[in-house]
Amino acid sequence: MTVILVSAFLCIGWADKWTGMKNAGANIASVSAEFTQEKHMRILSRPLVSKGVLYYQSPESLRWEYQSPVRSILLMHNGKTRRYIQAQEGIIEDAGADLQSLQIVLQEMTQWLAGRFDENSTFTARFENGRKIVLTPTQESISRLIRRIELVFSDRPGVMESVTIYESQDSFTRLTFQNATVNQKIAESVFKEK
Amino acid sequence: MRGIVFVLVGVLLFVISCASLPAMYRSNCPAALEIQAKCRVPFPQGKWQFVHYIEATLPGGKKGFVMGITVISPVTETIDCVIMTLEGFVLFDARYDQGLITNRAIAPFDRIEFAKGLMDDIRLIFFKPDGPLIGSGILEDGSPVCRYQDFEGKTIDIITFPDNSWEIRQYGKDLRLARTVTASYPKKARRSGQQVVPDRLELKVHGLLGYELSMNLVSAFSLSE
Repeated sequence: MTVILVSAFLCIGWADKWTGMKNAGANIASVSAEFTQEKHMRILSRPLVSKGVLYYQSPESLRWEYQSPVRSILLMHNGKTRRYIQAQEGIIEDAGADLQSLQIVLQEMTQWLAGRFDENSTFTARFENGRKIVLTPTQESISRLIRRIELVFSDRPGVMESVTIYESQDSFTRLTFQNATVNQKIAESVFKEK
Repeated sequence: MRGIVFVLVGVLLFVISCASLPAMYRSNCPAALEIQAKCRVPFPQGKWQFVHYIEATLPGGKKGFVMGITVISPVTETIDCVIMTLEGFVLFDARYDQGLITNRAIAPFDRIEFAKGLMDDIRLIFFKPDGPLIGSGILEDGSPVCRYQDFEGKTIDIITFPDNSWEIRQYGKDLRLARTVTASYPKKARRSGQQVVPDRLELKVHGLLGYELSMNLVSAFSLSE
């Protein structure tokens, strides 16, 4: 999932593209954006739409917040991952969440945000059609769950347009990002408080 | 010590033997017909797609939060069911169409007992009982009730209340209360066509391994329209 990166990689060779992305990623100190998530499935007559906001601060701080239809907040900061969720009694910490798995996913996201696509052992990355990167799982245990991930970059330097996660032929999740701002100061409390 | 055990076993047997259905005072026509019409309210007519945000309370008090998508068709008696995380990751995907077909099941949702139990829960919540109506009338508190007995010998009471909320109680063959479904219609009650869809459904499975599902409606679409 994510936002960010790159611009000048379109006209250069593979190695140069990755290097260009890393360099662009290195220039990203923070990102904030709104997102719309659409879940498409064979059985859904209309996609299930969720909306939220995301904040990223280099090197590994992240706030991934859903605001509708159900509020939930994923926080990663100083190596700790927490999840808050809407319950009958209000927003509570989700102690039952599989935080280890969540932490892996969130770290994956921060790697993308930093432009480090080719340093990942879980996915192989390749460019497609200029502005798209396709990530394919390297392990069968993961490919059974996720077939591929497509990241599409905007023509605006450092900003990602969409992420699509394909679970099967007829099931995918698409995140589109809006109103992204890059390298604006984000208060530390954003990554610590629900 | 042995005496205490005998006493406890005796008390247990006594309690078990005392399980009985709540008293129902039978109504005659036309009151019975009116009650039976009310008892149809809980069950959606035609094909529907529901999305619920589900808060599950498991044995031991552990909580889990998922999204549930259910597509039901009472006419064809088919159920499609997907459970996924709020982030959209599908944990369980199955279809019931004369038999259970599991398309995807990730631990801890990968046990066949879970899939069967889930389909039973969905059938109890959304489908009219498949056994015969064995009576209708009034409970002691004055609530109208329709009593069904399914082909496995379980008894299902459908109880309606003046505020349009309703309750389904399923009793086992031993006449003990096994499952309860309650529906409520807060101010935001949603209407689709002639049907009002409850904003909140609560399923309670009683017993030592009991659990509770609090299902908050996210969206409901009639697919028959």
